[in-house]
Amino acid sequence: MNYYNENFRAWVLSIIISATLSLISYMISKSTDTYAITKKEASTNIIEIVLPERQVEPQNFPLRRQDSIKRTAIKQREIANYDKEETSKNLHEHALVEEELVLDKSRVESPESTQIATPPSETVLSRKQSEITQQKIESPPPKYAYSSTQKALETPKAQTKDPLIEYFQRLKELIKQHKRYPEEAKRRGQEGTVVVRIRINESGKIEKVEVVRSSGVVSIDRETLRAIRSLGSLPPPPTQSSLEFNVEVEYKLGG
Amino acid sequence: MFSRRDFLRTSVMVAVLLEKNLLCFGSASEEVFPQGVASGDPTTDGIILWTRINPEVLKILKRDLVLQISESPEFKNAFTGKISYDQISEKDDFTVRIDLKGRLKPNTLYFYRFLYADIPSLTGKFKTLPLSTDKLSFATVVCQNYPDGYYTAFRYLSNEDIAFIIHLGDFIYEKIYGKPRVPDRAIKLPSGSDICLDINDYRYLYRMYISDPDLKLARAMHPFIYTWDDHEFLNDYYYDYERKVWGYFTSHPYGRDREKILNLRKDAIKAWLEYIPSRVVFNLRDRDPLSWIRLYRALSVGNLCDFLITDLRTYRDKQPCKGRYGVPGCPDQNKTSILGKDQRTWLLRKLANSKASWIILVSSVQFSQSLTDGKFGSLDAWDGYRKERDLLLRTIKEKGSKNLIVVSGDRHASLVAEIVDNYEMPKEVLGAEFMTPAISSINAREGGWWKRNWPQYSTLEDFQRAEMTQNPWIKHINSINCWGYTVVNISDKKVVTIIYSVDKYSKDSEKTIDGKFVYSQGKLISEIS
Repeated sequence: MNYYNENFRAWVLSIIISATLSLISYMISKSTDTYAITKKEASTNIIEIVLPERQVEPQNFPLRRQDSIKRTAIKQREIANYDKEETSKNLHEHALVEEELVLDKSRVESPESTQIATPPSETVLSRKQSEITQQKIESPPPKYAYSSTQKALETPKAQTKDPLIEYFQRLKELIKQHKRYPEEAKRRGQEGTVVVRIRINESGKIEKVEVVRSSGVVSIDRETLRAIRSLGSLPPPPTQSSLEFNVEVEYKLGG
Repeated sequence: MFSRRDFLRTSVMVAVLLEKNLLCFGSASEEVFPQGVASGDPTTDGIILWTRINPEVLKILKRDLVLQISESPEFKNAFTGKISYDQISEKDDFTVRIDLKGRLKPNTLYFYRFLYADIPSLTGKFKTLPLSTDKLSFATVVCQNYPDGYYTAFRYLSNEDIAFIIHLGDFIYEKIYGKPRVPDRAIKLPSGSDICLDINDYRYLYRMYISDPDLKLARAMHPFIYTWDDHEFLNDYYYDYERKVWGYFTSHPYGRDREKILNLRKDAIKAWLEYIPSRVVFNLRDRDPLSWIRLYRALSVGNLCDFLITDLRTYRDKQPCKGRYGVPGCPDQNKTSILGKDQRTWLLRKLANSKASWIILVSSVQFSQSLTDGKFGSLDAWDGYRKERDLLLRTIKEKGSKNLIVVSGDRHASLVAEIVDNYEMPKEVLGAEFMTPAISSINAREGGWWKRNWPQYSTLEDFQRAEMTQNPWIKHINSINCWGYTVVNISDKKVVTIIYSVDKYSKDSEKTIDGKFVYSQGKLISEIS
């Protein structure tokens, strides 16, 4: 009896274990239901991936055993994704492209071969080349005010003076001389810096003055606009063309 | 959604994977797959996978290539696919790209690897996009001139918890710009020229750049979304609509020979398509060179954000005015287009119709205006194309939204700015620009280029201060000592951006924070000063 009991217990236990295991495996199989690439496929079969003949642009590779791939659920979903229209265009164009990526230069037609030989008159390149030859740049090319020459870097001050810089300094001086500390602000002990934009035409006439960033004090902003407008005209810019610039005007008590 | 246990499980798996991948370097794996693996343009149900086989190995062994994808890094229950030997050839420089679109579950972490004669590649990982989400983190990188420094930043990036990396261009530099700035980074083009002359030169550069272990690791550990800047082809290039060919600013032996430049363009595109897994439209046989490749595209992540990935080189008019850098402007700034007609129509429509919480405008170049002492910093950036910029801003303003995030690069500096409704008389803030610093390319301090145009400032610090004062929307610039990458964390109500600095001069540099900024509802706040 004892013996039987022992055996029975072991038997019940094994039933419970196997039931649990099958339940778990069932649950796993359920959970991988939407998994596009299923376990079954993987363990039994290696799927051939066929790349387009001139494989440059990827296509959905045809899987041999289409039936085992559960992708309808995914496909049906309304997914905000890479532009739908673009994707469809993509697929459409891929078909075209596979044949078309021919690297043999002789076969690469250039769109209008008859028009190719248009000799440069005032060419961008020739100008550029002269720029380049003066500049032995030891670094990647201009990305942001990069058009500096190595020489200029070493001796920045030895350069010919930039008339625009002097002009800008003069303007700052002029504005400084013309501004008055607003009485109201003074009384209240208010200070601030206002940034204004000034546009002048080629003869120096002020066309527009605007506050780009307020000082936070109305009277200071207003006074700055008045002071600049009262100048009426500024010296003609060295560029001999209209010019715009942002300038900061500072109001500091006791300064 | 993503529980703490999930997180722990994932981070342990990722740590193990990193370790495993690092062990692969210098092993047989590297001999067979010298450029590792990569993935690109993830969707909710797919991804593009990439690898390249060493042609010598392929020629000797003549075996098929095996691809495995699994939800476990040990490749349990892996899907196994086979790419037959005869499909891999010199036509594509022995690269392989497979589009899994429509075959994967959303919001799922997958691992993949290639096997060749039982030798495994690095193990790559990617996560498909979620159908809906209330948060998303991604990174941006740009400008990685190989001889200018090490890619240490990419090693740190490999370990970030992000959905993908946006590469803003200048993945390669088409020219050898001077001597290497660090040891062992010399480049020698197959043609012997110092600038790309044909497809083999461009291919060589991609191979060389990608062979860097840190970049290789980052390409395995995250999917990338790529666009171009100029150096994928030629410096500061633009389209000459009259001659129907691209113009550029550098000396090239092909000069203005239209046919040669057009063929060079095809070479640049072909090499890029071979090495960069990307879902873009192309047709190199089209009669119109502007139809050869269409890089601009959109990507939505749930209702949280619409990414508008632009191409600001292919269709742009020539840079206006005289000189491009540090010059006063001219009326032509209001006549030029940086987008070209079709892309502009597409972009304006996307901006107007977007219903997402955030619009992420992917712009290779600086968006915000920068005018210092009467001189524009760069007319090669959006400042050279002002009217078109105003058009975008007006579209956003008319919608009444303040949700525009611009991610940009190109300047080899970090920069953070408010996007204002206009730059003449700004009244409101519509969003924020986050410019990521270069990975390795030379910055203003190294180049010293600012001195030529603004010699009135004795230090770069002074110049940066003046730039920020006169352009008050700009809140942060570092063109002095910042290389690295940017992580943008989007949630429904706010965007938190961290710019990481990793010194390019050392392979063991530490990662530091250059700046942390929070943008929400028209307000941009710096969290670290």
